[in-house]
Amino acid sequence: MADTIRLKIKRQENAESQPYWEEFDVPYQKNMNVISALMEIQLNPVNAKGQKTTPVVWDCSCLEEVCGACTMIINKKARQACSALVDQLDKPIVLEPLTKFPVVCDLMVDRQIMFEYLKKVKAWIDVDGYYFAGPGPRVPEKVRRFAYDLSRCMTCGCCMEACPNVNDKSTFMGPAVIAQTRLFTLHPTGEANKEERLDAISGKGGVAECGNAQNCIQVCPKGLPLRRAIGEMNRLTFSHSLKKWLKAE
Amino acid sequence: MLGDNSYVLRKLHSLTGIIPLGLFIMEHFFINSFLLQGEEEFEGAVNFLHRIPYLWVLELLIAAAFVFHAGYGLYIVFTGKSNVGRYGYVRNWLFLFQRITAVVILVFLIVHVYTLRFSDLEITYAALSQALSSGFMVAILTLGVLATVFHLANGISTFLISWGITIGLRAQRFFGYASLFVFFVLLLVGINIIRLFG
Repeated sequence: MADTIRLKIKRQENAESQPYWEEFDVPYQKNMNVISALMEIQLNPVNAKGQKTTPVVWDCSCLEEVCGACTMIINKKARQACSALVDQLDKPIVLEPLTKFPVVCDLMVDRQIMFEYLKKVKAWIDVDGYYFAGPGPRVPEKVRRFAYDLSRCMTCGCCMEACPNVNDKSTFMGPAVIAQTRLFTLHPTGEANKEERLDAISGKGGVAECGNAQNCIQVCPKGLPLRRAIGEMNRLTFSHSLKKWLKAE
Repeated sequence: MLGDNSYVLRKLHSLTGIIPLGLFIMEHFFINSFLLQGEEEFEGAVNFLHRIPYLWVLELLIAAAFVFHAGYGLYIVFTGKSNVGRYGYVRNWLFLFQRITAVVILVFLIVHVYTLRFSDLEITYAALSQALSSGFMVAILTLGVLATVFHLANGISTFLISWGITIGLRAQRFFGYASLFVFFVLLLVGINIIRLFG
């Protein structure tokens, strides 16, 4: 095994500046991941040509693939840097920032838009007061299991990165928010706001703009049941829109 | 109606692809296949079509559906950004082919309808056979048939997903293969028509 690992990183100083490539050789350690390789650069910011440079900027938090903060493009695939083990990757390891979100610096992007989308569909359960309202309605095990799988979304943005219909020319909000709308329309208390959520997800940028490329199903690191979530939202938005039109005064 | 019309437009786009456009393609292939029974039968079938009551209403409906489907479809084509280089999954390729064939069909149909519907050409076996005598025309027609048949077959399986009819993997896969079957059947029927004219 080579004692150094070559990293090829697409860097960018800020949101407006031009991206450029820089290569680094970092000392190999057993069981290292992309994050620990990036930490080596931080420790000794010298590029492969031996020139001193600025340390590469990236984002991370949990380091156990549940927060989504360290999502980047590793060897052309969007995934989390913390669970990308150096031993399992082709060399040189090519790192790029996500392309569907504005770059803050180097590999760090701003995924705020995903949270704005979640606000649009009210992806939460409203608290209807601070008094004790008794236990909530019971959820059948089958529903609970589906809801739990949907709740594993960490807003990492892999699904949006892989989606051909999410880009700067389109208004499509992407798969993650569709899955969360499904989750909160499934919830027995969340059902109170079902119509508002369905209005939002059948509006501009909603589920109807899905192009059925189904890349999201393939790339989701948490294996969310996106096929079923999108399929059921297709059905629910149609019956909702039809009923709404028929009932409107 | 819904505050914003994009939902209705998307659904209409999906629906018009099947009704009336998909049905029209099937009818078109069916009537042309009368050639199998001979020239006179073919001309009889064409004459029957020309004698349908309210034919102009049907033609107008199909034309309107086509203009809408193609117009809104072009908008969909231009708001997509294919990434098969990085994500080379089957459905992603189908997504790309659906958009490529859309543009091919649009160009082909403008020529096809202009030369055969809005020209002085009388629709007889002899005249069509004459028009189809060049290898170039055969190639153009074959390309047109290939693109149309793919777009329709794939459109059926994505229609079923977009309307929330096929939800699970098994159903989506089943109708994926069913679409492949439809593709080959329509392709054979289409190629056969071109062969019989040639």
